Amino acid sequence: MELEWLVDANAKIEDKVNSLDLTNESAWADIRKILACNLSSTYVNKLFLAVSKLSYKSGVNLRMARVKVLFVGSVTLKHIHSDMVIAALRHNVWLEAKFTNFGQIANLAYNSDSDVVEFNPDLIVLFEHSSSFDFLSTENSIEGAKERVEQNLAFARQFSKLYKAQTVLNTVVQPIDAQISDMDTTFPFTVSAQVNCYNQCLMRALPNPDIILFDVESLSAQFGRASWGNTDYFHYAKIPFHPDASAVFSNRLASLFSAYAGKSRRALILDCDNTLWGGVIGDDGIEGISIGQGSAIGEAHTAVQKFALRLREQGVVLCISSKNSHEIAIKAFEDHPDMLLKKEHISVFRINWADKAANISDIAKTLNLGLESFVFLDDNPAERARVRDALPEVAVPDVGKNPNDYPAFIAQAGYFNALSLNAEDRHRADMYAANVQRTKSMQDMDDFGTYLKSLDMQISFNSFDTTSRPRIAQLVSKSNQFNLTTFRYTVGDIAAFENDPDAITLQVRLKDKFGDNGMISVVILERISNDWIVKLWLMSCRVLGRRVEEIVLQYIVDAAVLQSVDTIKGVYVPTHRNAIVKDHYDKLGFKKTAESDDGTTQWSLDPKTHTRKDLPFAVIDS
Amino acid sequence: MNDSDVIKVIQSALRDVLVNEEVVITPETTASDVSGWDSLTNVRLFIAIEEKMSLRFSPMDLDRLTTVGDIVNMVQDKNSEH
Repeated sequence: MELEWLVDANAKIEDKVNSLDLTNESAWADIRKILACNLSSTYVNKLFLAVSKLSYKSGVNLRMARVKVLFVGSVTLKHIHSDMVIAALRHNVWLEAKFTNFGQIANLAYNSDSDVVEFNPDLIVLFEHSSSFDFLSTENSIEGAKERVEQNLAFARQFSKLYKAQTVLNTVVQPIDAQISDMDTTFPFTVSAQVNCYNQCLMRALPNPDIILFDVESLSAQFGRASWGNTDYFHYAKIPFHPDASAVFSNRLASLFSAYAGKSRRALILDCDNTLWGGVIGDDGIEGISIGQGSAIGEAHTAVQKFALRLREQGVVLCISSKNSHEIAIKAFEDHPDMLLKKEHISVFRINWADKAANISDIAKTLNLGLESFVFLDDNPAERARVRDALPEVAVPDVGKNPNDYPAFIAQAGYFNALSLNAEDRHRADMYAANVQRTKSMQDMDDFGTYLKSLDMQISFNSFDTTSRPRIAQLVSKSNQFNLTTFRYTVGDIAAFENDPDAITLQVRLKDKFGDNGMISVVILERISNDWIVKLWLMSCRVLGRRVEEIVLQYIVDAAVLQSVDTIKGVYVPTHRNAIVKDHYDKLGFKKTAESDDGTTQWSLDPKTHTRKDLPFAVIDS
Repeated sequence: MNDSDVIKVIQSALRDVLVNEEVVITPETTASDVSGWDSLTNVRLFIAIEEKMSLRFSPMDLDRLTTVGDIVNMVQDKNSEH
């Protein structure tokens, strides 16, 4: 069964597995991209075989920690060897696993085994299953459970002595036929009571230097014990949980190995708009975003913030990477009464209009952490794809549009598993100085152009029409940031433009491979003798950085040339919200013709002198 | 799905599990006929068949399987149950 926070299995990724060239330096980047996706058992196997051909010392897997694990116990786990190796890679661990035959435990614990000594395991997983309990003996059943814990602790002490290995002991899963009455846990002879007692005694023995706790009971409940505990495969081959749970089991155990090796992820980078709050703060304003306040969306986002704070309590560093004007978005952290996340909770802010992958690289440098230490949470599939492609070491859970999923996906993925938490861990986030910096300049990612092309953007241009009028009117009245003149034309004005022979109107729609963004830009030009004057030019901030304004200009220029227009003129009227378009016309190649004291600037362009550019769009006919 | 299609699926699953693209099976094939086909192979084969054909085996099914033909019959029985 697929893990929800990974990208769906797909043919493209399967091709990548088939064409993996391990002699190539880029193989590990490819492997990490493959690992971001779910894989069918066929492809788990193929990938496992491919990486098994590499030795740990091959040098290409430097960011991984090697962990050697011996599996002992009376159940079968060998069938998921490949699943566990692949799961481990996702958690920055190079796993080497060995499996013993049944019934070997006491022998291994009390007589040094030369094969084990030679293997030199770091960890021994001693897997305990409810089938080992004698549930039919009604005498001293609780005592029996206690004794079993003592026995496993004794094995662990021995494994420490003989092999210098710690033992992973799990909480036992209640069998699916355990509960007969609601009082069962209080009747000492029942299955429920014994399993409970075992688990409690085990937990009471912690902390213990010989043991690492693997809370399989909680995991099985999370997964759904009815499915987990289906006994078809147990009775056939002593497989302790149904194969449907293999992916979830392997992932969790791998995260435990990662925590052991010190390779758990350390920091969470959060987007803001539609991640920490509902809405886009640049367009909706601080009063328009949804946090708390009894709205379903607001409450869902509050839960995301609460979860982030809980992570911080467990030593995870929080960072922000948001495409916004810094002054506008930071206000939410400073002033919004319902924000739970405040400035002091965030170690690094990168709020700007630059590429997120570049920002994340910068965050990593600032914190002096490797990229494999990061998890990136963003509601926007285009941003997620960009970061996965540019920075394959960063974990990017494939969250959908529903913020209610965000905390659960991150929790279940096990990115931040830990073996212990001391005071230093819990306050680690405070150790990084809060870092509020405007980005001066960021290195362009060489492949940003490739990324834009990969979005398969389709753009369409139409003049105003009756059907689109409400959406046009909405954009005209609500757009604040990317708005050159901020003229608030009324619905009546817009209707008049539809039939005005001297008006050139444009509604621009954008689709990309992730979906339809709808109408994202509106332009109104007025023809005065042989010139075109831009009366209105606005664009949704969601598509900033994609060169949309360049293709819009291209369209306008082409039309202007056809109609023998001498000059296209534009004006920038500054407001307290639209500073980001101060240089819009300059960037598009216009010449400044006037500037007044209040900051208003006039611009002009000769359409015949405009140079065409290769832009990453397919222009579709209406 | 006819019987020969089902055998193709089983053969493909077996080739994945045994990491051997040369394996060829017929309805009469048993585990002892194929090198490397042990009890672990059984487990992984059944899991793979369940995944590929979206069905569920039960212990009654699993105990009775001796030949590939037995597996094919069982798969066909399950498919006709729907």
